[in-house]
Amino acid sequence: MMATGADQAVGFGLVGFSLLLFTYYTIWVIVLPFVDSDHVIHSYFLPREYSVILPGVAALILLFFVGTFIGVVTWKNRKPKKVD
Amino acid sequence: MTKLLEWLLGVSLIGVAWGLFTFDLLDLQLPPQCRELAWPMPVYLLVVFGCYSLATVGYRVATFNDCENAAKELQAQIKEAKEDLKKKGLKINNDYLKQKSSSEVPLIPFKLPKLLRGGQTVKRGADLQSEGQSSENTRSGCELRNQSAV
Repeated sequence: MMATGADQAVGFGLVGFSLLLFTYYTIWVIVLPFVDSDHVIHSYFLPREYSVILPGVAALILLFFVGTFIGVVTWKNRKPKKVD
Repeated sequence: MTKLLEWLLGVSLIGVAWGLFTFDLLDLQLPPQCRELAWPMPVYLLVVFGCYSLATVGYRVATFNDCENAAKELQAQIKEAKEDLKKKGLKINNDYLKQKSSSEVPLIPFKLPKLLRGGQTVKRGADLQSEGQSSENTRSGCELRNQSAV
């Protein structure tokens, strides 16, 4: 009784995406400092500062969406004079 | 010592260690690569934790043990019990039990508690079961279970 098609696709898609993200980010943060600076692999990665700035920006965007969602839902559920 | 204090102590110890390595406060003259490695560490650990959470949620969504027959049967039983109770005079004002106009059975409310609790039983519908109605489909092997005890 496995989960049906779309659920499996979404689930394994999430797993794959997070594995990709983990691998790329680990190479960026942990492996690259020990690689010679004239190696070709450095051309696939942004400068090191971005490895901190980009997740920070992503976290802010996430917070923004969560806050907006909460605001929209609260606004939709408001009742005149009394909130349940 | 409370759990909160333990966690705060652990986090601040790690924070102090990280600060020492990043800003070279003890003048340890570490190789430059170690400093390069140390300063993104907090963000790195957060990203790794986020990836792990995402992978866990995705994996549990993909391997969730759906029981569509049992869910539909349960919805029918809920409707039956609701009508029966209405006849006996009980007023039910529960938005969750409202049947939507779409033909698809709303399975998401049954899945989320299961995902979040990681395998424990679902509480909803437990009170209706105590009406005395027994299900022919025992739902064995499925992860949608009703127990009268909380």
